[in-house]
Amino acid sequence: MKKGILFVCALALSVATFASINPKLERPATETAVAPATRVIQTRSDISFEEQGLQGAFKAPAARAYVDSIRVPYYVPNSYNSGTPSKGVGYVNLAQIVVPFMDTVSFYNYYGLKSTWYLNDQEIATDTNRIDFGVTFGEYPLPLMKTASIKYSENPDSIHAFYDYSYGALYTSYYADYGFYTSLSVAPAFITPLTKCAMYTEVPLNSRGKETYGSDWTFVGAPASIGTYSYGTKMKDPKAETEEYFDTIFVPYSNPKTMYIDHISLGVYTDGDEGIKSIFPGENDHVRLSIYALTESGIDWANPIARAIADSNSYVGASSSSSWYGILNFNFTEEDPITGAQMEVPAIVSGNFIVALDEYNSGTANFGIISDYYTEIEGDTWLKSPSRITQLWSTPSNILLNLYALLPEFQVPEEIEFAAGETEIKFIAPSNVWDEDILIDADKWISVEVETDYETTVEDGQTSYDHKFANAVTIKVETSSEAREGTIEIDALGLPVSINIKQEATAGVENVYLKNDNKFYNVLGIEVGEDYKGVVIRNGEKFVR
Amino acid sequence: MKAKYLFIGLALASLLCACNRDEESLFDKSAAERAQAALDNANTVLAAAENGWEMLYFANTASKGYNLIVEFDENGRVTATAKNSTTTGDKIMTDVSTWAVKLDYGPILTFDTYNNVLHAWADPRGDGDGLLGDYEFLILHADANYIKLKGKKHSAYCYLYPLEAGKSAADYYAEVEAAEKKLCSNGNIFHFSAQDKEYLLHDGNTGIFTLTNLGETSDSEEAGSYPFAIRRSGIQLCYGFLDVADTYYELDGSVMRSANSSISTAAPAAYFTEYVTLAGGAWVIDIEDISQTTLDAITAVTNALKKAYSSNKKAGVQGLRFKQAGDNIVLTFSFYGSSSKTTEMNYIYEMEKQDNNLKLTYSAPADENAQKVLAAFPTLEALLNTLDGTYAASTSDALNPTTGIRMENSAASTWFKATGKTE
Repeated sequence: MKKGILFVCALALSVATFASINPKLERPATETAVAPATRVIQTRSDISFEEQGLQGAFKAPAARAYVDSIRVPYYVPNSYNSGTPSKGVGYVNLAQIVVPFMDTVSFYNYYGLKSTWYLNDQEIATDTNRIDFGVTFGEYPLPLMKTASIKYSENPDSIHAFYDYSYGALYTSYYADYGFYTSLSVAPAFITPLTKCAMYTEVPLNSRGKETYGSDWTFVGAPASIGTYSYGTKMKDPKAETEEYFDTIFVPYSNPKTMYIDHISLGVYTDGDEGIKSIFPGENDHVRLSIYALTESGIDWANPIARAIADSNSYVGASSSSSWYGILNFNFTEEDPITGAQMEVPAIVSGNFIVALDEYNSGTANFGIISDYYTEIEGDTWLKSPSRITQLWSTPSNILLNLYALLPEFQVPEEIEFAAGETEIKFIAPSNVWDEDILIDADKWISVEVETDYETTVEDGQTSYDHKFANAVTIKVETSSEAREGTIEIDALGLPVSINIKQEATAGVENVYLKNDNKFYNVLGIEVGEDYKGVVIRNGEKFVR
Repeated sequence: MKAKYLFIGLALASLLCACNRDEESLFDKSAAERAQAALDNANTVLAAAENGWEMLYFANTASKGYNLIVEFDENGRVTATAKNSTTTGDKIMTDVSTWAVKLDYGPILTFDTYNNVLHAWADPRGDGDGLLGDYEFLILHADANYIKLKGKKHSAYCYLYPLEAGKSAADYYAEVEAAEKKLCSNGNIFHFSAQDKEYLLHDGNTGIFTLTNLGETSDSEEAGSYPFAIRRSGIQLCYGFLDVADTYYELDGSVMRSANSSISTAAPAAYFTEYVTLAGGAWVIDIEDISQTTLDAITAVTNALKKAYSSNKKAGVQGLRFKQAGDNIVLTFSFYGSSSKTTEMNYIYEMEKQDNNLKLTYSAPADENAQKVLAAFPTLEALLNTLDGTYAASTSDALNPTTGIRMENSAASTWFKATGKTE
């Protein structure tokens, strides 16, 4: 028996000593090897918000129609840092936030950057990174807030000139890598965050509270649980006759022009590729995205402009190093008249609109985005927010809804006039639409050719393409003895453009009359004598003598 | 019982041996003298490189490697240059500060005044962590050809090699970027071979290899991470793969070699499948430079599309590519139909390796939409069938076949060319 034990011990010792058990394909620990450093992200999740002074800032409004829960708003002006003007990447309006249906609100600038604040274009505060005030936002259809240009630091040279609007990634970013043709569908998703956000969650006060997505919410002070997940939100349309709630998160866009939206993506948090199952646990689970018109009378919820569904097949992991963060792509489709198959189409929207996530049929998953970083905004006041651009989309306060969109431009004269005898006019039309994407309809006597040209710049041996390129337009008309007018109708990625064409009558043989003088003429029109032999013409009649 | 006494006796004897204090010193100099010599040597070596050093900087053992140029002079000044997206915005940045070698628990190279290039990784920034890099390094080895450092705080190894004369920073970084593109573009996937075993190296484009067993994707539970930097002549690892000590792999034709191991790619036919199934890549077929049979089939489909969608001047075949979709390998057929956007339909293919060849067999539409398109355009089925067959594969760049692979079906006199692209 003792020999048996000894043998087992010896065997174990030899196995432990000589066998190389290395289930993970990592280098084995040796004396010289140093274990890879583990980055510890300070989440501060163990610090209560009271300690951070946020309780007051995030003072919850009084419970409204639903007494078993309160609404806790949290906002972060969307971040910037998506590039510098010299790079030509899209910029983000720092704090363009919609605050519908809330009584009290606080706004912050990430990194404590001070700025001037506007509400519906009225200046409401200046030289501050934070505003706290009570507004009955329900009175406004959808108030828009924005800040002016932000001074990034005390360095006067580092002022970020924020544009009013940005719609996802701009062309410039992807010209260099992908060329024009596929540019709209392969914009870098993670470089440019969305422009505005509004987000709420409904926190149950007790176990009888209304159902919320996810079951691990506990109320320990507002906003208690943003350290982990943010969840689908339950909102109420105050204009609705009933008090039926719907789950929605939405982002408004001011759109003075026509917008061509190729597709939309949403940043999500999952536990790796497999983790997408936590968002879509069922085979038929999906998130629905809808685009609604936004008018002065509010949102026309009954008539979406376009809708798209994203399911587990729509998920794309963000990077190999951290596939916890990914995107859901929403592509709009419609039935093809020839095949009956569903085909992807763009959403073309004119005027203000909102993009809403208004249906989520799972009900159990973690739908939202995590935050892992706090930003000091005032003294000891901290706000959950991204630390840098790579973490931007991991904040619960930002819904990274990227519109892969373009505001088409095609600048042509309203009217072109062809002088008498003129049959061709060529001009350069500033545009950002590739000629292949321009549809033209014109009267039969008018032909139109468009050829895209673009400018390139070379810096440090790298060629980059200007996202503003030009289209060479050639218009040809047939000659006409009568003056006439026509129209060229142009559809540039949904942008309707028309050119009126005027043509003067072409100068030709006029006042033709018959000369009846009884004289003889040869075929050259030269008068000949009566004895002339050959073909002669007299009084318009031709005969041979 | 006798054995027990024998064992005790041997143990006592060994204890007695340990008490012998007459052992001679292993070194011919004292510890202090040796430390001073190492310090002197480091000082001399660092400043002796006339054209400076190419420094492969690993901020920590989980960070990709960065290429720096550092020049030390005898007056204690260091000129550091970098170009990367993390700290310099992809612009060449140079800064001058000071350096010193001091004695701590060994010779320590310290960049003891702030340098915008060198301290960018060590700066704690707003979150208190920054990029988790070092500015003080233990000098593990230093001679005129090679210096090995170890970060004092984060323990990553860094490597320095003398730069040749007449090399501007712009030229250096252009060559590094060209080497990186050659080796790591398009999600290229390598084989690592050591001790008669082979492994896969994924994710080269991230600067951190993911090492897996053959046949596994990079999200394998057993996968390990190995940071590396690109040199113009090969690949520099922060630390060796598994228990292999090699850290530098030098380009040698179609292989990168080290003393005990090598890095290469699979044979073209095997690579074709591996790239699709394990690297998440797609083979984009050149639909213009293709065998006449297939070109005719493409033209027939384009004509049918143009007829059906006469109002869309773009109507026609847009592209063909092989990729993985779910559990299947599919041919994605891209075309313009009624929409101004490209429409894509997937058709399932069987992909079977046969010796050094690859057999492709069209199977079925991947879904109902693809079935509808096929029903509406019968010429598409003929196109799909022209790609059936057994192909011999070849590539002009064995270190990165994604830059161009040619598939030839000699039995049917058909062929196509494809380039790799990650999706």
